[in-house]
Amino acid sequence: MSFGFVPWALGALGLVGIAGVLYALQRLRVRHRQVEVETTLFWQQAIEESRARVLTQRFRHPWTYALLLVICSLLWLSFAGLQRDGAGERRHLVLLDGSAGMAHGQRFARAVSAAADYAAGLPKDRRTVLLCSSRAETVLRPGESSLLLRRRLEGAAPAPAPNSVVDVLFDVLRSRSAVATTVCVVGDLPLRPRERALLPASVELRRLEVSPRSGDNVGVTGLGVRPSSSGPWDSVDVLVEVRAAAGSRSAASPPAVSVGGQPWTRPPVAEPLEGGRRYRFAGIPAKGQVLEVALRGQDALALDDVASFALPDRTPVAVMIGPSVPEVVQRAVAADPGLVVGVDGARVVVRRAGATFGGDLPALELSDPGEVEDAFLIVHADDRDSAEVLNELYTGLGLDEIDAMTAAATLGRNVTLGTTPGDRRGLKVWRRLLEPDYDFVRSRAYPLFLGLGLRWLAEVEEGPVRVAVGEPVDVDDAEVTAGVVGARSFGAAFVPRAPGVLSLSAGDNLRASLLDPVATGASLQGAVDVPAVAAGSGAGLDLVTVFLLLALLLLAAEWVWFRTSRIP
Amino acid sequence: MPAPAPTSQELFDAEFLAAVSRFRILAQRVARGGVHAEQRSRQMGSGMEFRDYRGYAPGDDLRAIDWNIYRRLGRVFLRLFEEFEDLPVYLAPDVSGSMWQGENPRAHAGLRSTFALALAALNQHDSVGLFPFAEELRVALPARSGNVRKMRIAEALAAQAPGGQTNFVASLGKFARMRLRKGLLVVVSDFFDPGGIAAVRESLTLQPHRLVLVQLVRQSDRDPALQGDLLLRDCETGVEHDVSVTPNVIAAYRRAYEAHESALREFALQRQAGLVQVDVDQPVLPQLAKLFETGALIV
Repeated sequence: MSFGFVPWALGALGLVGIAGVLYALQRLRVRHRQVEVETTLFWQQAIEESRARVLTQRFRHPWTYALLLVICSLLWLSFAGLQRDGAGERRHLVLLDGSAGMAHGQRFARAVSAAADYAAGLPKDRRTVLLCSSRAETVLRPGESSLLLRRRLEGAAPAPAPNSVVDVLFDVLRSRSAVATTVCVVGDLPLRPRERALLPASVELRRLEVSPRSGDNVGVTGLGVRPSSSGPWDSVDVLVEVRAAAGSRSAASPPAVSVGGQPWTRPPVAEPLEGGRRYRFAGIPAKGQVLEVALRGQDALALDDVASFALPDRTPVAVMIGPSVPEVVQRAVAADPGLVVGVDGARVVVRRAGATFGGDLPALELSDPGEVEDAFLIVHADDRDSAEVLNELYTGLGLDEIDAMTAAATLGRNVTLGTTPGDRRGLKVWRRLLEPDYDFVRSRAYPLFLGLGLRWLAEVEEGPVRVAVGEPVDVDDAEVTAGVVGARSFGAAFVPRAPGVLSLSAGDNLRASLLDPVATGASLQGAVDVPAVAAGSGAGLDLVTVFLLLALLLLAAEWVWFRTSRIP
Repeated sequence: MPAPAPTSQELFDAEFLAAVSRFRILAQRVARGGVHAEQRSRQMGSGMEFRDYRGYAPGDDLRAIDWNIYRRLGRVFLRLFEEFEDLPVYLAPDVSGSMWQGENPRAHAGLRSTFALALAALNQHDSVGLFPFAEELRVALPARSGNVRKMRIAEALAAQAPGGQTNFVASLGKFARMRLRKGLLVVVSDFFDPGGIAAVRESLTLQPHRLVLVQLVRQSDRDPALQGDLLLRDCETGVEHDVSVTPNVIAAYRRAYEAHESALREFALQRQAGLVQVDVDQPVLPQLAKLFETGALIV
């Protein structure tokens, strides 16, 4: 046992002081109102039973003193915050769902109230309440009064973020798996069986019942893009997945799609899906425009009615091909749908080493072994490490597909791969390797190397197109400079925390959308059914509450006994 | 500051006198030795009503010999006639401190009651004596009859002042030791003796006289309107008691008061004494009239 608000010595001293003060008060003479009566003959019997407190007289009301001492001691112990030492006892963790799914009607307000009631019934020194919205936020620490919880959650609203309860649960348990913990989730708990199996045996999982969603809701729960099945390189097919909340009617009409601000009028192909439909919008030109999807009509949750992303830019790369470049190069470029031979708008050039054709454009130069020692030489930017670039491009350019042994046997010398820093990107390859006499141009590695190499020179990098809130997205080393709703730590992928536009330092934009079936309310197949408990069914009252209740009870009893003259 | 006693003029209210004139005190038999009056006496003498015969004894009045019987029987008998004498009425009003307490002190009702009974006695030529008492008894007026006594008694009552502490044993013990002619002792008091009802009983038991007890009461005696933490000071003894008045204490007080009343009533019954309670906050005469419900107070 210990005191939460005062030192142990002061707590004990307070008890002794209360006993002393009450004893002195018991013996203190009461200042009476003097009344002259005709006789005190008949008062004498009554006086014997109810003699008032008189200093220096005998201690006449030990039971009254004991009652007052108990009441005052209880109040003092409550004030001093007497508490049990909780070492080794079960901890309680309350996870309050603050995701978009709680924005249905009054769900979040009721969840806050239920969480507060539940936390109030838990041991004060062994409870923690976390708000799981766009990030985990501790709203009640061990030892804090439960009144602080309601105050801190005043005005709070669910975040436009997907459900993160499970992620937070595992994050927290990672650091306290050895401690017996009762976890109570207030809100939605999309826990899958394999995740449930990963929970330590020391964890008891509960779910607090909150009101179900009210009203119909349909939301966009998935977006995807794939190369156009009809063939054009510069077109893509966009997949839109629409689901309805459990118990809601599915959307009758397909979502409205706009590309670059212009409505896309070609009807999609629809196919049924569990709890919804999947729409395929075919043949959308991919030039980096913004594609927006919007559901028609209003429903219970507006956050999941819209989604957007930036289409990839699949405009063919114009390639200048210099004189005396082998024909096989031109044919390979022409065969690649992502490349086009031309001068206008050329972004890369293929030329003989030392030639000035194409000027300062990034160049694929055909060299001779006497000029360049390495058969494949990668010129990269100064600020990058050569080994890292080599490791990245060995597979990124399809170099791992080259049969170096055959080439070496044909050339009669070693075929090597090298890197060197330079002002701009460049590739140098022995010209003899591209002559028709060699196997390299007949191998499957040749068009792959040529296509990927020219794209790398043109810095064509298809970034992530589908960015979902709450899901990690690879932005390489780019720094998110605007619209930051999430944090990025070293070594971890960037996770957008809210829908909207995220500006990268490179100038690109990412469009994050809420694509969460849980937020929409769609039934989650295979989710573990965790037994629900009623609000206020905590593990028991803390000592302070028990003491205050006892003091209140005794005060009421004292009042009754006083009114019935059982005590003076 | 106690209220003064009513003046003799206030006592001599015409309406009061007229009402009292209907009161009669009838003694079954009075002791010998009184003066001629209207009460039957144990004395056989020269009255008007024949009562009995008895044999002659030397020294008897020859005028009482019935000579007709002597002629017929040859023996000498005396004719005895009933004597009518006065009833000595001894009025003992309590003038202790408790009787003068408050704005409407009990003494006012007590003195009026005393005067009413005095007038009733004097109207039928009985002798009336006045013996006010507190710590001890005083002889204010010895027992005498006659209309002139009315004014004297009124003046004596009006002259009463607050006395000290009530002491029934000392006061009425002294009265008993006076060995006065047996008559009627009327005690007008609240019967609040510090010695309790035992002292009252002891003092009254000593009396050879017939007794009439006039108990002066008020409603607050039974239901005191007191609350809170009080320091109760006895107006006679000055003794102080601090008390926290609660419903339980009030109930205990009421039990004690009722025991006192019951004991006084029981004593009056045993002693065949008259007992009347006079509420001092109500008119006195209608309450006193209960003593004369049968037409007269028979003692």
